[in-house]
Amino acid sequence: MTVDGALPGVQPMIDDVAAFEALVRQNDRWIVALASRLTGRVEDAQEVAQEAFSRLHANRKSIGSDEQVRPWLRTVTVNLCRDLARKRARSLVVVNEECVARAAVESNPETHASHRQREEILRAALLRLSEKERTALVLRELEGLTTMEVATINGVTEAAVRGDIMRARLKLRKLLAKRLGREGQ
Amino acid sequence: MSCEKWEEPIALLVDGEPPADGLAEHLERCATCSQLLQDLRADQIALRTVPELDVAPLQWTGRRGRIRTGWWATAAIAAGLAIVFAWPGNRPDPLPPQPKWDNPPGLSPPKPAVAAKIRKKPRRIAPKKQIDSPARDDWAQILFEPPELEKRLPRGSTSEVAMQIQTSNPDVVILLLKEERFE
Repeated sequence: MTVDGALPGVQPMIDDVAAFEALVRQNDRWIVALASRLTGRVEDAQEVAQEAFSRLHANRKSIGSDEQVRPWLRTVTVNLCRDLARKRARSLVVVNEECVARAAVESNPETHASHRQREEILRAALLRLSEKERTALVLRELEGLTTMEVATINGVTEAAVRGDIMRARLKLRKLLAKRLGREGQ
Repeated sequence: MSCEKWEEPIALLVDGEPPADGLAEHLERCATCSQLLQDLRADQIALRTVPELDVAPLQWTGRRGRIRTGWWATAAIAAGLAIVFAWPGNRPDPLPPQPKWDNPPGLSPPKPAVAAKIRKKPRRIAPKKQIDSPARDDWAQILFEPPELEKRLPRGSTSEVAMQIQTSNPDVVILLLKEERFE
């Protein structure tokens, strides 16, 4: 039974495969988008999304209401991305360096970079942040969560989240200024 | 307060936090900090407008890639493995392959009893000798293949040709040495 403006209820479709598939189709895009911003790789994002939905399927009985599905999926996705980033910390740094180096070579600091190059530079710069800073900034800016919600997902205090976001913004500024050739300190 | 110390309050301001004391007045006077605030806000907008990566929709086919079985299946698998390893026909040969000894005439090969004794007992690892002496295999090669020794050594060098006598105790070996000069 679908409620207007809300996700289809999980509890009634314990044995309804088609309904669960519909739930996946409704949520896979934003889950993959969130995971791709946190991991930087499409393949990793898809793997994380698959795992998140697998866990949702396994824990469907423990999710009480419709409103808890999206926050539950978001929390699981963030945790999976964090685990994946820790496992691939070294390789992730190599990928970031490649992206940033390629974007820097292609862009001329004397002129404005193309729109696509700026997007690549921005994505690469986002991946240069630490895992905590990137997660806090993505959840705050791209998911539109409040500081308290971000703190709940990450399991830290609100003050810690504010600090992570502040450092993320300043680091991002310096990275973008360096790569895009903007004047600034 | 220097401009560097205003960076954090400015970043918090972009995040929607209330401005720190004196920040508004400083922004009116300092062009650098004012530019920083504009750049941070521009970055915020750019971050929110970066399009999502073009990803194919997820294909959910149940618990794909994960095999989960109940306890009864796990017990059945364990029982099957136990039967496979316990089957008499699957037991490996306990005796390792026999080492090959190219014994010259006059020297007897190791007796089977001694060889078996060697295999059953754990082999003692002798401490490494500090002297620079050839390994046991090298001595055996010197003993059994003297013509090659002449080819390996340069003119004028000396060598000790060893004769190896094996005893009933595998850890005790008697070596007879003599000098020869190759010219």
